[in-house]
Amino acid sequence: MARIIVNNPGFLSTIQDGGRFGFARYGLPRSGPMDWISFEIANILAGNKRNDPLIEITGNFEATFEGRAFVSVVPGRAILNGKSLERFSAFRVKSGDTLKIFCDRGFRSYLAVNGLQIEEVLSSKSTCLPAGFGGFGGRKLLSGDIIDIIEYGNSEIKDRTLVCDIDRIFGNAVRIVKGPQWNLLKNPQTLESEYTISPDSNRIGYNLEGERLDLESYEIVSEGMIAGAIQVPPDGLPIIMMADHPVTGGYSKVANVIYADLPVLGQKKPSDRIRFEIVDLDIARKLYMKYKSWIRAIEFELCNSSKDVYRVNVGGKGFTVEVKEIG
Amino acid sequence: MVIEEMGERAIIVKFGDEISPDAHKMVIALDRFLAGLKTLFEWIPSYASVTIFYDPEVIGHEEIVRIIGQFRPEEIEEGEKETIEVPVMYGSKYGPDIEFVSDLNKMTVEEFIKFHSSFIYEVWMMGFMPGFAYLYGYTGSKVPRLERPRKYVMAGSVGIAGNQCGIYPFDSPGGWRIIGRTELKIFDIHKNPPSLFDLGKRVRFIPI
Repeated sequence: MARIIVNNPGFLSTIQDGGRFGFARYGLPRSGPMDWISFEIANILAGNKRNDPLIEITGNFEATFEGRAFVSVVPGRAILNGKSLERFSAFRVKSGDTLKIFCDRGFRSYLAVNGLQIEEVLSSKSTCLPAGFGGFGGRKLLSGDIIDIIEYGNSEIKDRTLVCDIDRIFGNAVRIVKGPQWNLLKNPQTLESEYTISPDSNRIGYNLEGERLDLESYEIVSEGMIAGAIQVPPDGLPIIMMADHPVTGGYSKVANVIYADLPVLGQKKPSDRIRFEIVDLDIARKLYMKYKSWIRAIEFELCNSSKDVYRVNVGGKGFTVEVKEIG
Repeated sequence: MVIEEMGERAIIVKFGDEISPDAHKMVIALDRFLAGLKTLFEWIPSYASVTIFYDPEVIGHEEIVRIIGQFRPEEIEEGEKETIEVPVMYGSKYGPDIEFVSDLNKMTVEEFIKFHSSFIYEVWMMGFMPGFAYLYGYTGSKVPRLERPRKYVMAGSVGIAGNQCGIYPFDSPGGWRIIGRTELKIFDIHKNPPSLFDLGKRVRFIPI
């Protein structure tokens, strides 16, 4: 058994998998990654399944390894024993290696470790911070925490780097569709003005600062919500529901961030600016399918290729991918 | 019944815009209808609506709308409603707001305890935090929330806000008026389901 020892957990590091399904009716948040694109790419690179548990890092991070492990970091900068690695790398580590993750773009990085041992609680390995269970003891990682790793069996495993452009998630454009209470909005054009992420933002929700929205009515009969829902409380400043959001809410929901752009928010830190762009539901649906199939294309190439250098061109405005194996 | 879209991954089936016994009945019926199907989606029942979450790669939104179209509330049997007995230590350090709520109802504390525990409550919605049930049944004076929520309410605390009652499953901040506490475990990750309460379950408070 290998182990990873956390030296510095940064602002907030938690274990997250694809999310906790089937318990929303009991008030359980779904949790899971704030940036599902980086999360899935990190897992695929490390030879994991797309929704396997990994470490979601906010800001910088440092850990030391005992034993052998195969890990990847997306999208932050990985520094192994003081040497900066190429971005989007998966690489072998051995006893005594120190890995630093430097958040030089965005806000959250995903450290995927092949064979990371996390106990399942209520059908998921995600940390449910609001209720304090799941993941690593139901809490954020602290300095000195140790997580077991099953050493990879495949001796053929090679270091590899994905040449990957996911610049869109570092931009400030966030596409939204009209929400159930859109018609209560008296100044709809205001929603497309610039908003700043407030310091009072976390995995539960992002509070926005900027122009106030004027609604005919702010309160509704509480109803179920989904991540990306934009609620407007009586002060007129929107709140975006994020991964650990409460499952029901009683403020008007004027719009919904599309799934494809939730990672844009996940990579934003307090004081970053965003701008909403309204799109049709039909476009939101198409983008959902398109982004999912991009990730599948990356997965397919990484799983099936024995080439040293190969390229996945999945086109479109989103990102192109080239994969080369090194070392 | 109205169907509204919430993004590309959820729809809301609405039964009006008010908290009412009629809307609650419809929600219970739709919840039972969906539970009887082998569905490829998850849903949250609430006061007057059911929000359905889906993965567009697994099931299209047209298909869900078609399934909802087959819902015939009159064909759904009401079924047995389980009653959960909740032992409560009313007042003193367990219920710091009991005098306030008793005064509001123009009752002595003893009268109020008898009054509050005389009702059979029903879960009309879950939410706010894991395992938190919104209980209806109290017919006394509407209780205003605290002007400033307490930073710390202990798990098991029984609170009132408006005409709703609820029990805090975890230590947490809270703005409801606290009248007592139970030692029952409201939320237990080692059980499946983890929540003591669920939509439609009934509750009796037993003073101890």
